[in-house]
Order: sequence, then C-alpha cells, then structure tokens
Amino acid sequence: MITPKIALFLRGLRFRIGALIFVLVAAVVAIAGATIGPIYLGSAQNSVLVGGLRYAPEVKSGLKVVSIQAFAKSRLIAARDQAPTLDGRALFGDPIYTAEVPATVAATPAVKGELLASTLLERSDVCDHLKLDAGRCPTSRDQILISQRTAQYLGVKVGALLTVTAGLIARGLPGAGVSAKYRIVGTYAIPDISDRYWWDEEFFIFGTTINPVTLDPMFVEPGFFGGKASFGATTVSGLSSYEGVDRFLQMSLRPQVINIHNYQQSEALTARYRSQVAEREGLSASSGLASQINSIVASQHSMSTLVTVIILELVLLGLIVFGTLIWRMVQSRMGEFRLAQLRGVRPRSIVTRAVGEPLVVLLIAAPLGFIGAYLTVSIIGQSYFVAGTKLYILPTTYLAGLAVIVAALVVTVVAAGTALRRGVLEASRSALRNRGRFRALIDVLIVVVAALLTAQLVIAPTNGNNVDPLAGAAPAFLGAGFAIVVIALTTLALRGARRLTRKGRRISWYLAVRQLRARSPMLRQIIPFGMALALVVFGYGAQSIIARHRSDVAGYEVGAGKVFTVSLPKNLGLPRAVDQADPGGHEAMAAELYRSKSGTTLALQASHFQAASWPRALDAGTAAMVEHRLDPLGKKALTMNASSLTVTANTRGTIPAGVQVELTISLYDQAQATPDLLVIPLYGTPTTKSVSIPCRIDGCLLSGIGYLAIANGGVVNPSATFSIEIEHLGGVTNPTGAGVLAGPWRAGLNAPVKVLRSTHPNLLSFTAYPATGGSDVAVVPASYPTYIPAIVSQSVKATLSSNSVSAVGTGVTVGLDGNQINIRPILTLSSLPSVGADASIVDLTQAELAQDSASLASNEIWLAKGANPSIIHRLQAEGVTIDSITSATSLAASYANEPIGLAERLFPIAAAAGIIVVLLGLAFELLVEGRGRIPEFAAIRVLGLSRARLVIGYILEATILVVAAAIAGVGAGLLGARLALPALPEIDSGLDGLHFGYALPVLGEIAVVVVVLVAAIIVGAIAAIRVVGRASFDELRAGDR
Amino acid sequence: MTQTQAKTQTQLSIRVVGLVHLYPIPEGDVVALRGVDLEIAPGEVVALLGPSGMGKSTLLRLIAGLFNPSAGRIFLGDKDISQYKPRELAKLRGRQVSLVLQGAPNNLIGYGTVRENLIFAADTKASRVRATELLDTLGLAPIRDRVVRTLSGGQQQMCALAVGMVHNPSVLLVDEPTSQLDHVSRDLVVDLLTRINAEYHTTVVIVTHDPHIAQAMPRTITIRDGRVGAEGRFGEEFAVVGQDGTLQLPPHLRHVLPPDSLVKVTPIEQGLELRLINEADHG
Repeated sequence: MITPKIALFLRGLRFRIGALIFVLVAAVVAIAGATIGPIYLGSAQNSVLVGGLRYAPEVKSGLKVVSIQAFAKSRLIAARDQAPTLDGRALFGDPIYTAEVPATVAATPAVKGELLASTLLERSDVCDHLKLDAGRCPTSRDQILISQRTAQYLGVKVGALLTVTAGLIARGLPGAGVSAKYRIVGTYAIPDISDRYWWDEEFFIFGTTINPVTLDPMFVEPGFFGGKASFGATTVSGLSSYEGVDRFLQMSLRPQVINIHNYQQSEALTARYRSQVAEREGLSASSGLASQINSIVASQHSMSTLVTVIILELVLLGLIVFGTLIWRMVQSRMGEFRLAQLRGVRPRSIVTRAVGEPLVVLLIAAPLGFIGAYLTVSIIGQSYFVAGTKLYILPTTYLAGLAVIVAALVVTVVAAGTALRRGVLEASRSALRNRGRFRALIDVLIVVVAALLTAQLVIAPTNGNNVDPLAGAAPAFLGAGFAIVVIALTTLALRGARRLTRKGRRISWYLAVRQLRARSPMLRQIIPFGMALALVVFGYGAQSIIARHRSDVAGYEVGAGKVFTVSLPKNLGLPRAVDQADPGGHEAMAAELYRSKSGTTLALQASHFQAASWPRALDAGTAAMVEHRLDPLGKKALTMNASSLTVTANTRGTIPAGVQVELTISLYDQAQATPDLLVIPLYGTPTTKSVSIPCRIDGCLLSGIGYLAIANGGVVNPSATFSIEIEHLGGVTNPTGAGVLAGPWRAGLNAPVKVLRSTHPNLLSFTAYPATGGSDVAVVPASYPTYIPAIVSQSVKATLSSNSVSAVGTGVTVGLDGNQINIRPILTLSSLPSVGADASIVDLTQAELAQDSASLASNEIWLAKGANPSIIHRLQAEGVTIDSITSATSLAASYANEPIGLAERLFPIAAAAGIIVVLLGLAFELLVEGRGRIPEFAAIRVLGLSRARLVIGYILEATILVVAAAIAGVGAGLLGARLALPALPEIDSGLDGLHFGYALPVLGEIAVVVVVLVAAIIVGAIAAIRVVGRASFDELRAGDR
Repeated sequence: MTQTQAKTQTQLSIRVVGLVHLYPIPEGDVVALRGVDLEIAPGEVVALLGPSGMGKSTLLRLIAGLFNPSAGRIFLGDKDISQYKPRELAKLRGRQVSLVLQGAPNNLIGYGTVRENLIFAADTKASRVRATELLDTLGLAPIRDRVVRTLSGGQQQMCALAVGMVHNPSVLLVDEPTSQLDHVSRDLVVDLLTRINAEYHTTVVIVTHDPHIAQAMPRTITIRDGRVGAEGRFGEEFAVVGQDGTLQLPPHLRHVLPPDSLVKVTPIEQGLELRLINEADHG
C-alpha cells in the first residue's frame, strides 16, 4: 500500500526524471572516477608483482632442492610433492629434475694425449630445449648426445663411440671409476643459456686451452640415473654405483599464484618448507623468492604515492562537480522547501525530504559506478598490465565510493540547510553579504594554496624516485587558483563588453554579455572546467614527454633503434657487408663489441654514425659532429682495390753480414680477423713482388709497413742501420685519390724508425734498426692518428694519464683483440650508449687498424630508427645471419610497464574522466539555469527576437565560460607541467648526464584543448537548443515547472 | 483533529503597533510600511484593501512571521512576535499562523494530487488525520486524487486554502485569493473562507483589491501609503485617526483639501470641523 507521502515522492521522482537521470549519470561517473583509482592501483601493483616475478630469473624466483646424499631421487620427488601452496594453489610448478656426474672422456685420435673432462647429465625434457644439429636424442642407456663443438673438437660424428668414465675418478680421487662406451646418437647446438629452463646454471663451459680440456655436457637418456646406471653394477670401495651423482630439483614459480593480497605469506611458506620438508628429507632447499618480492614491492612505493595523488585530484574534481549538481538539484526544489517551511514542517523533516531523491540516485549509481570502474580498468588492463594479471580491488575502493556517496549526502543536507537558513522568502542583504564573504574567503584560500604550491615547486623541486605528492597534485590546485583569477578577470571583461555591445547590432552578444554579468554564479563553472583542462594539458603533456624520455633513454641504452647480434661466414667482413647493404650510410652501422674485465670497447663504423641514437640531451653536438670527431680524417684507411699487391722495394746502406732483411706489409683482413702479414725478402736491389690478396672480396686495410731483420744465431749489431726504399705499392687505394706513396708517411707510435724522403717523390724510405726488427706498424700513412679518438666514460677517463701535449689527455684501453690501444678522449660522458659506464667508443676502422691479433669482439649491426625494413633483407643477402635482436621500442615499452610508468598512465585516464564529469556538470548547469529562464526567453520571443538568435545568445554564454575556463586550464596546465614534471620520478636509467627537455608537444596540446572546447560548446549548443526550444508562448502562463 | 477539537483551538487576536518596514535594495531602501496600527479580534474576518504597492502583502507577511519588522510591534495574542528569532518564527508558522500566498499554484506542488498536497504539509499524525478530514469538510473529496496542475483556478485556490488549514492555525492569512478567478470561483472561495471562520473560529485576514470580497466581509481595513487609511464596517467606510493623530482623507475627497492646504480645525460635537483657509482672507 503506497501512502500519499510515498506516492508524492514517486511523483516527484517522475517529475524531475530528466534532472535525476543527469545527476545519476554524474553520480555514476563520480563514483566510477573515485573507485577507478584504487582498483587501478591494486591491479597495477598486482601487475608489477606478477610481471616482476614472471620475468625474474628462475634462480631468483624459483625453488631449488638439492640432494646431499645418495639415493635421493625418491626424496626429491617427496619434497616436490610437498612444495608449498598458497591459497590452495601450488606455489611452484614445472619441476625440472637434474642429475649429473662428472666424467672423463677418453681421448680420440684428434686430441690424442689430452685430458678431457665432461659431465654426464640427465635433465627433464632436455631435448625439447636443445636444437639438434644432427641425429636424435638418446633413448637407451648406452647412448649420449654431445655438443656440436665437442664433436668438432674430438673429431667425431654421430655414430661414433666414446669411452666415458664416470663417478669417483672424475673427482680426482684415486681409484678406478666406472667406464663405459657410449654411442653418439646426436649433436646439439649450444642453447641460449638466458632461457629460463637453464636457470642461470653454467652447464655449457667449453674450454680447450685449459687443463683438463673441458667439454660440454653429454646428455643421457631420461631416467638414466633413476634405474641402473650404465656404469654397470661394479662399485668402488663398496659404494653404490650412484655415488657422486648430484641431483637437484628446480621448480619454477607460478607467478600468477602470488598477488598483493597474499604475497606476504610466501616467505613463511618457503621457510617452513625448508625447515620441515627439505631438511627432514635430508635435502637442502633455497629460494630467492622472498627477496625478489620485497624488492618488487618496494619499487611500487612511488607508484602508490603518485596514483594516490592522481586519485585525490580526480575525486576532488568529481566532488566539486557532483557536489555542484547536487546543490543545484536541491536548489531547484527550493519552492517545495519553502512551501514546507511556510506550512510549518519541521526543518529536520524538510532536510530528510531533501535527501530522499539524491539517496535513491546514489543507491542506483553506486553499483553502476563500481561496475563501470571495474570494467574500465579491466579494458585498460588489457593493454597496460602484464598478461594474465587479475584485477585486484583494494579495500579502499569501497571507501572511495562511499566517500562520494557520503559527500553527496552531506552536500544535500548542507544545501537544504542553507536554503532553510535563507528564510522562506529571499535572503536579507546581510545574508547575501555573508554568503559573498564566505565565497570570497574560499576563493582567497584556493589562490593562496595554489601560490604556495607553485612556490614550493620552484624553490624545492625533488628528483629521484621518491615522488613529490605536490608535484602530482599541481594540476588540480593550480587549475583552481588560475580559474578564480580568471573569474575575476572575466567579470571585469564583461563589464567592458557591456559598453562595447551597447550600441552594436549583434543582439546575441548583447544578451549573452548581460546575462552572464547578471548571473555571476554561472561563472563558477570556470573552476571545475579549468581544473579539468589543467589535468588534460598536464596529463597529455606528461604522457608525451615521459614517453619521449623513455624512448630516448631506451634508444640510448640500446644504442640504436635496433641492434642485431650477427654472425658472419668466413671471408665476410662486417663493415664491408654493411657498406654494401647500406651505401648511403644512414640506415645501418657495423659495430664490434668487446667486453672484458679491464673494460669494454665498442667500435662503431663512424661513417655510418647516423644510425646511432645520439640524443641532443647530451649537449655534445649532433651525430654528424660526433661522427666527425670520432673519425676526423674520414675514410683514410688504405684499402685494397686489386686482388694482388705489388711491391717494388730495395735496401740501401750497410746491411750487417748474415742479416736477411724482409719487408713486411700488414694487411688487416676483416673477415679473417687476423692481420695478414706479407713478407717480401729484400736483396739490396729493387725487388718487385706481386702477392695475391684473398681479402680483395671482403676488404683489407693496409695497417702498416715494417721489416724483419733475421740474423742466424745472433743479435745484430745495434749500431748498424740501413734504409728501406719502396718505389711502388700497387693495388692499394689512397682515399685522397693520389698515389699511395705520394702522401705523407710517418713512423708508427713508438716505432724506432725515421721516415726519409728521397729526391724521388714516389719513393718511401725509412731507416731501420736491426736490433729487434720491427714487424709491427713501423711506418704508417701520416693521416693515421697517433691516438684513436674515443668517447669515454668517466670511470675510463679517470684512469687515463694527462698528456702535456694534448689538453685532453691520452691513455690506453683495451682494443678489439684484447690488446691495448692508444686513445685520446674527445668526449667524456657518465654513461655511453649501449655499453654504459666503464667503456670506450672508438671508430671501427681505426680500431681494426690498431689490432695486432684476432678480434675477440662480437659483431653487431645497429639499425637506425626509421630504417627501411628492407635493410634486413639486404644484409641477409650479403651473407649476414641475425642471431638476436634488441629493440629500443621494446625496451621503452618495458619501461612503461614499470611501476612509475603504470602510475603515469593513469594521468590521461584521470584527465578524460575529469572532462566527462565537468561536461556533465556544465550541461546540467546550463539546462537548470536555462530552465529557470524559460519564461524570460518566451517573453523575449514575444518581443520579436527569433529563436535562432536566442539559441546563439545562450551558446555564446556557454562559449564565454568555456573559453575563460580554457585560459585558466591551459595556463595552469602549462605552469604545472613546467614545474611539476621535472619533480616526478622517471625510469631509473642511471643516465645522470642526460638532460632531457620538458618542452610540451604544442600541436598536440592545442589539438586536445580544441577538442575539449568543441565538445563543451556542443554541450552548450544542445542545452541551448533544448532550453530555448521549450520557450514557447505557452510558457508565458504562470504554472509549476 | 475533530471539528469539536477544532473549535477549542486557541483563538488569537492580532495587534500591530507602529509597524514600520523597509526593504533594503542597492538603489536605496524602500519603505513599505510607515507606521501601521491595527487590531483584529480573535475569530474576526477582516479584508485588507488598498491599491497595489501600499504594503498590504508586506503587512501580511510580517504577521505571518516570515521575517522581523524594521520597527514596531506585532502581537499575536499576548505574544510580541516582532523580535522573535527565526527558530521561534518557524515554530509559529503553519501552526498558529498560516499564510496562503498569492497565486494558488505558489502554495501547491503541481505534480502532486490534492490529497498528497495536504499530506505534504502535514508532518504530525494529528495533522495527517486532519488533512484527511479537511478533504471532506471543505468539499474537496471528489477531487482528492486529481493532480493539482489539472484543476481549475478555483479548485486550486480551494486546495491551497485547505493546505493552509492542515495544522488548524489560529490565524489564516490569505493574499489575493480571488485574483484571476471568475465570479463563480470567486464566490466559492469567499464562501469557503467564511465557512472556515465559522466552523473553526479561525481569525481570517484577507488581502484583496476585489470590491466584491470587501463587500462580503464584515470589516475592511484600507492601507494607503504604508498606513491604515480607513476602515469599513457594515458597508460603510470611515477614516481612521492614527496613533499620532494623523488622519488620511479618503481619496475621493482629497481635492477638497489638497496637499499643503491650511485648514482650520474646529471642534464640534463628536468630531472636528475642517475648514480650508484662504490666505487672501488673512492677508
């Protein structure tokens, strides 16, 4: 039975259904906006945790159980079955069982006399993780699978027999081990040991220069160590044949089991497992899971702070708008409340009646808002979170939604109470004055807070990984502060506009200016709109800048857009292959990288330096400038242009008796990585020698000319000197185009020779000292630098000595062949592209010229950003094989998935939600305001103004509001971005020397702001059309609306 | 509350002494009442007459306790309500004194039914019972479930009066109850007001400039220039001497003694003789 009171309540709902739907939508958005943050934060934390654990090395996140005595396989299995569970789900899974026995291998004819060590290894599913070059996996106890390089070294193939002795003897203990013959059934390629399957274990150690020679492990059939081993039944010293078998169980973490709700239990679980299960079974268990989790959770602190700040901004904005809507809705019922007051209804009853409708709206909105937030984060999570992340709802989610509901009810009560206090009729002048004073006080407070915030950001910006909450809160507060100032300025502007439109013929402007001036509360809409626009400008700018920074940092850390690790067939030189594939030199660059304990050297093909990621942030000049400094003389290396080298040379002077002099030509063959040393005997008369040079195809560099003085059985008299003349050097190209010998030559560094010139310009003469005979670079073209220009890290610079001649100092570093090279630093950075700290970058050509022996460097090709994808095919056509790819884009994307990246991704979401909320608020304000002016519009229409002009006038009012708000919002957003962005933490790249700019993407910002303004004006237009459309002549009659 | 109980509701007199009220506006205060003195006995029906803008509605609102006067006193019974605080005035409103605003829709919730409007005003059990009784008593039962917006002007006004009576007030103040009504509806409204006074002994004060209502009421008070200018009883109008001795001439006689006239006042039996003095006579 519906009582009259309930019937009237329902009738009131139906009467105000339009406004209530509006408020409902606003409530849903406000509640969704408030709850999005906590859901996002919880899910982002979950994503970081799950992702961090998923990509953590197994050795750090898994569980390893090791047997410490024989016959432990059953115990291992028992231990596996009791692995800890979390929330009823197994914490670890995918067990890998491994058993290994050190062994020795009997020498084969190819390696006679060598002591060969290896390992018999059984590992679960190993053949699924090995690429077989030949044959198949072992299926019986007398079969083994060996590595391809082991087979090569031993000179054996599939089908051969190897005698392997396993067990005690391999430990170096005296006594007989158990030998058996194993047939090789297959060979495997060395796998990528970074694969999680291998657990960072150093299984594949291959060394032929050590004693004993260490061969790769030999894999046995599955179950080899479970049943009778092929060692046979023979035991040694009474021990079982299983003695000496190391067994361990490695169990991968199932990262999706752990979430931010239960992670704290994992440490206790694994500790209990260790103490109760593993030790009871006589095993040892270890897991780095706890420290991994702690590290990941600690890394989320800044994200939590930043997300919380963004949430609060959004909640603040939502409450302002939603609160205003509620206030307006209560005010629209002022007539009813006055009637109730007039009729003596008690104030408490009136307030209760006022709360009724908003409460119904909120009860409907709450679940819808929550569901909306959940779905939004769910959709966002598809692209933001690690795959498989489950959304996690923090308990604060409910509090946030409840806060909005409670705030709305409080606003309703306050609005109703305020209405009651104002009296049954209009408020007295003092009440109006007091209200004005209160509003002015709030405005001043907001402006002061904004000013203080600005001052704090200017005076004491923070850097590093601890987020400054004020930096995150800057947009909203600055937006509010700017908006209040703009409101005051707009009021003044409207006053002036009144005069301007007084005599004009534009009736719409006339009306718009006056109506806004008369209705100053409408100008308050500038505050939430300004705040939202500030959020938009800041959020969009922040996203763009931070993405740009990440891209720059990733590019710098990778070195180029993509870096390929490549392998080359014999007789293929890397620089030449790159030159052929990319003649223009803008897409790809050859690089060789050598890492050693004494430092890292990266040699880049300077002529193709454009392919490197060289940010302007370094303040070290453009890539072209750096290229010129790395290789100031350009392509000055002498290269072969013929398939043979022709030399006409002679000796002059007194050659000691019994000494044979031989001219040496050093050619650096890039493909063979071994300097070719051509020896040409000299007999005192001009000798012409022509030598075929196989490196014509790939390119050879003439690295120098020297000599050998060979004395039989003794040291040559050190006082004897002679000179060597070279009349002709054919087949070699001087990059300058002139004849090879015509250019200036000089003695090589520390070379004990003197370069002479005879009267013949085509002759190259130099004196030689026979004591030791120089076959190293004794004479080089003058253009060859004494010291190789290098870009060095600060740690390398610190080790270099200063040179009195050169202000920048010189020193040595390790070259591509592991030997020292002389460098001259031209630039010092805290960290170098791709190689980081403690490294040097030199020109590849010069580094190769300085090489004495075979290169130890790995080959890389750097691809420029925006390189045509066809470059890959061109490289492959040259014979290059791409082994692996490192991409700057992928690295930048991975940075975006780090905690701070996830926090910053919330900015545009918050901005978009904020804009939706304020557009709703604007629409409601215009509709409610307009509704009250319907009779006025109708009366104006009676006077003869067309509906179109009225609509335009109302649209102009909205336009003035949004333009003023845009001025406030854009100003606040730009200032906020300028001040706050440098204070927000970014990726920890360690690149302290890089200074990234914070220039906002102007065009993008303009576009975004324009889109928002257009949307707002469209909202205004819709409201105007709707309101004015209802201003028919019928509305002139008195009546309830 | 039953009719018997209604009859026992405390009847209140209304006494106004030297009432002055100003409306503050930015352009300068407007004096609505310049010193009104009047008395209305308990259970009396009085019509307040006068041209528009003379302060009638202001006087009504002051008596209704909507706000405090700028000066002067207002007594309801023996209580001086002129200095009442808002909370005290709120207790007074609707219960002891009820005001029906000009324009029936301004007193009603348009989307509600007649019955719902009555219940809306009733926030106590007693008033809710009374509301139901009023429907029958005042002849509104046939239209109880009709939405107010669909009623005729007269029906709306009757509904508004019923709403004003929900709390059985001692004083019912009605502002222009018959404006925009035809004569049939007007008569119905006047009849209803008379019945309310007769059945509930409510003191009724009606603001009107409808001469038909004035004729129907036993007593009229004419407000002119913010003061009581005249009183009418039993169809005849009399000038009223104010507390300060001032007397307002009826408008139709002002031409006899125009403003700034010098008048000789001579006492006569039960009155005064006023004779215009010609300055030339005393030259």
